[in-house]
Amino acid sequence: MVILMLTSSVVLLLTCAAFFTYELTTFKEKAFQGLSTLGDVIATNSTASLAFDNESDATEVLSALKARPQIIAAALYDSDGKLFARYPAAFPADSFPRVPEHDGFRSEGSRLLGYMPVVQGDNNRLGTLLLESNKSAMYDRLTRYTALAALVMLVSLVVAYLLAAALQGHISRPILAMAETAKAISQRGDYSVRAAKIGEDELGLLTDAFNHMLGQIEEQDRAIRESHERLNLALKASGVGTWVWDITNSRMSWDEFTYPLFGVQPGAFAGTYDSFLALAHHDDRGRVRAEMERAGATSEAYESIFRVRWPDGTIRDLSARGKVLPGTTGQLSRMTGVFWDITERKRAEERMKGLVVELERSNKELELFAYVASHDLQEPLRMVSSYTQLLERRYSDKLDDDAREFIGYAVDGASRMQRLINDLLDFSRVSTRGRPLALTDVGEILGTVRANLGVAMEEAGAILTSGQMPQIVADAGQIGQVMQNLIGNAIKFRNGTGPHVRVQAVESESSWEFSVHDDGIGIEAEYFERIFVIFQRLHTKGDYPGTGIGLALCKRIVERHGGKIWVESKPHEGSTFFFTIPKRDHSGTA
Amino acid sequence: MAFLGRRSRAPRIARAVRTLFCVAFGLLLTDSPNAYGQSAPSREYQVKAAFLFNFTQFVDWPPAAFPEDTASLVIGVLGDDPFGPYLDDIVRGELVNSRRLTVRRFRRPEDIAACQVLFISRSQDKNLQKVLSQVKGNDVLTVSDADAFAARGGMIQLATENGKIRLKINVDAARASSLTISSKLLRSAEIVASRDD
Repeated sequence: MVILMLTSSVVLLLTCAAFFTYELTTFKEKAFQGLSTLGDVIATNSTASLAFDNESDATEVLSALKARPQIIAAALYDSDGKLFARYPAAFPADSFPRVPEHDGFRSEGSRLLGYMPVVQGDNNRLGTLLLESNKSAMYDRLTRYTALAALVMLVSLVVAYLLAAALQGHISRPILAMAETAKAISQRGDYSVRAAKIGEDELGLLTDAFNHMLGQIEEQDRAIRESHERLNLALKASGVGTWVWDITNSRMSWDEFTYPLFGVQPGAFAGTYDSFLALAHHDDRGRVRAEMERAGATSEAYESIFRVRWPDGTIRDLSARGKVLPGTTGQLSRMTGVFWDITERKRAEERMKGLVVELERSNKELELFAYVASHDLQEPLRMVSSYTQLLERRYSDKLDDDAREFIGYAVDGASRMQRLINDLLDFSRVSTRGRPLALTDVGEILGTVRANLGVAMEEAGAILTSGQMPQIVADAGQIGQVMQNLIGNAIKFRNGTGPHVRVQAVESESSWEFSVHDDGIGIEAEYFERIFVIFQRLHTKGDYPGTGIGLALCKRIVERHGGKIWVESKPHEGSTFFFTIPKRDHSGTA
Repeated sequence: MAFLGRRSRAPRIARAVRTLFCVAFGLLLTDSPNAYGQSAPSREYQVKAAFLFNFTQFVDWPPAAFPEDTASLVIGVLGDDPFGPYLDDIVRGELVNSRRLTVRRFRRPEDIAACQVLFISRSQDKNLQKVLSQVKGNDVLTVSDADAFAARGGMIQLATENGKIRLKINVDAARASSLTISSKLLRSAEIVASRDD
């Protein structure tokens, strides 16, 4: 309404101003034109009076100017420039210029003067006419225009007001309704409010669009709330607290989950960056400040672990992550992130570290013990073995059958013990006496193994086949031990006579996978793990001789090389032992 | 001061007038042309000479009034010439409707030849009727300063009243010919009718 009225007023004012300006600029010209036209008439009518020296006639011609109130005075001069007749006749002659000036028009104060020639026939100059007019006509006209403009303005404003009042219902009401709705929403945050639709015109469409937008906002608002609640639940459950650091104003704001991480009540935290730093452990405080401020300055991701000291003296470990939020003006002014308590995890880690150290230490002791024990056990055992063998050789004819049988048991026991000790020594030497890893041809190793096992293979009628074997970086002696143990087992645990053993190698991206397949007695799935544990035997030594160390030794060797060993098997159908050796360059690193 | 044609001529006329003022102011209103002779016309006759010229500006002649298209407009002076060379000076070089102006003088009515304006001197007062009837129908503008000239059938009478020269025009006489007298000229003149005699 106000806009409508203002618009019409401004338009009218501008129009009037333009009109006035035009009038003012053209008035003088028009006035001169009017004067000139009038002068022409008077001059034409005066020719005879001048030609025939008839003053009274000239005076009478001039007196016709009475009809023109703007003409103040007029005068006729004869061809010699002498005043001939004047108007008004009552004016004294000396109030007129004594002689006429040059022809032309000029403005003098509030008067306009015009000197015009009086000519008869072909340029036959008879005299000069002077007309003097005041500008009151202009002022009269301007006054009239002003009055008219004021009237037009008034009428226009009234019409504009009436129109605006009439149109308000059509235009303003729907808009006001929408404005009311928007106000209600912004004040109460209730997005379910809708603007009333009035009419089916463009404003109706606008209202529909507005309501549709409200619907979308409501939906988004609901989604945000849900998401917020889910986030809150997650934060609550995880014990993660969020923070926002306003770098520009040095403020630190926390959510409800952050306060417990620092052991403070929400009211007890001042909310400043410094009060946050004050809660950091004094040994870590400098580092916390440096790390955060560097991240704030470089907008790199922030990640840190530091200790906080609760007001009650408790020391806790916190992990922190954050990132800089880009400011609207391109300035990096805010950083947001999360804190969470890692005290328990850290303690567990430390405990575990202690345990690992302890374990390694005891493992080493055990190895040393095993080595020392088996080494030192050999000497007395050799004594027992050699003297019982001596006894058997020298005195067998002097002993009865029972004594010979007993001595035979003693010799057998001593030799089994010898094997056991040798195996134990091998086992303990895997890590202590291993040779450096070097480029090794597995095919060559297999050849050696085939030769070592030649007698056993012949006895069993075994067939050993192998695929293409690669060169690998490994301890050749130990890989040979693994192969010999696995192939030996395959022959030992045969299913009847003529076992068939096949060795293969498959290359993968990072390692070689070797497999030793047999058609032997197979293993129950439940024992797949157990067979690799030292001294674990599935069979009595009566059925299959052995020390129970072989597969444990294989596992140890493969693990020393960084690989894995496992078995796939079905009872009575056969077993396949797999082991991997990671690829290395020649210097031995993976 | 009178209205003596173009400004370009004014200095010469003004000089003459000034001389006349000095010499003959006292004789201005005397009636006798003989008093100052032919070579020095009175101011009165200077004015009258100018009037004669001015009449050519306010009167239209039909083409038939001239013997040929390029013929001059002739101002004839019948009888004693009161203007002397003054009238010749005034009309010299002037053009009226592209016609040059010439002055011719006729001693007696029998001498009158083709002319468009005929000034009848007082000396011919007694022959007036004869002259008027002689030029009637020839589209001649008859002018005279003889008493009651207009009333006696002349067209324009130059009458002197209170020291000023006034025009008296017999419109009927003018209308009888094919001349057209400008309404402006009529307005500054007194209209008189023919006296029945």
